[in-house]
Amino acid sequence: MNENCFANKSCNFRPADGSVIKEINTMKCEELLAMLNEYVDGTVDPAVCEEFEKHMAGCNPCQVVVDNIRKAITLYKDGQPYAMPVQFREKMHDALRKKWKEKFPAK
Amino acid sequence: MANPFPPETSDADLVRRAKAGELDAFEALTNRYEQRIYGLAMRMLRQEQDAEDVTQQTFLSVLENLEGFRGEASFSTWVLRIASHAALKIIRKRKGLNTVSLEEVTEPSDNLNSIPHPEFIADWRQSPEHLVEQNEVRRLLDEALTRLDEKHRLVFLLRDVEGLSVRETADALELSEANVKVRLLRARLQLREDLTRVLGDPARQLVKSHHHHE
Repeated sequence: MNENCFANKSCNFRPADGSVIKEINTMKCEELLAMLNEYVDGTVDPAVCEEFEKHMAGCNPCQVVVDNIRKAITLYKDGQPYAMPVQFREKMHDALRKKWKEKFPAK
Repeated sequence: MANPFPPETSDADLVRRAKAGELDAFEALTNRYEQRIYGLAMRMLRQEQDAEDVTQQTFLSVLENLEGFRGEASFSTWVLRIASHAALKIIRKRKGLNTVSLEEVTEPSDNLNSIPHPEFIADWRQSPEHLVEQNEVRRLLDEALTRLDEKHRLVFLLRDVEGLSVRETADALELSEANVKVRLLRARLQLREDLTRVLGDPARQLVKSHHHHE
């Protein structure tokens, strides 16, 4: 799992009283979109990260989009891998050994 | 045959020994990466025979070119680069094209201004932990991947599934970092869109009031 801003205590903006923040939505959705990679990967500058989270606190759709993207990445990353067929593996190793012997005939 | 190398032996060590002619070291490297390469090829090509071809070609090519490998990139990035080229070659062939070029000209659409906005926004019905265990979901995931343009798919697989950094992905595909970032964003957004259409809870759909289409 990538490190992310949520885990980074230096950047964890939440309205202290739980109120909905409207007036400080300075970042636009487009700007959030442009920085989405860096945010999801946890490589965004802490100041920008704070702006990002301020925006999300007041914009539920953006919050959901970010959440969906994280889930999508997790699904692909943790998904069951394709197992290589055993027969093919043996065949490939034979081919590699044969090639190896051509390359290093003395060994 | 038992692997004579403990897991903590670095790739660089194994590469050095393989270059010196130790077959065991070369086989240890192959054992380390063959599953990943096969998995990447399957996700790129969705066809067993093609995935096998890519895997075998990749390791034959590693053997062929090992002497020239200077270790400027990590071994894993290098192997993934070879496999990426091989997979793209098959895709191009399927499309009836003969040229393989990873360093394609940046398309006009490859800039941030043209990134499509999210359309269908909804919480998902189930958590990924629940979903991972379901076979049905694997099919959905694979289908969504297939709908991605191959150059976006490859960037997503290397960065988000194989865990390469943006820099390493750029090295592996001979692209600029900026290009990798845009392709990654496109891939992530498109997958999100696709998966939300299947996994999203319609009862919890959100409408963006300032959506550019509305």
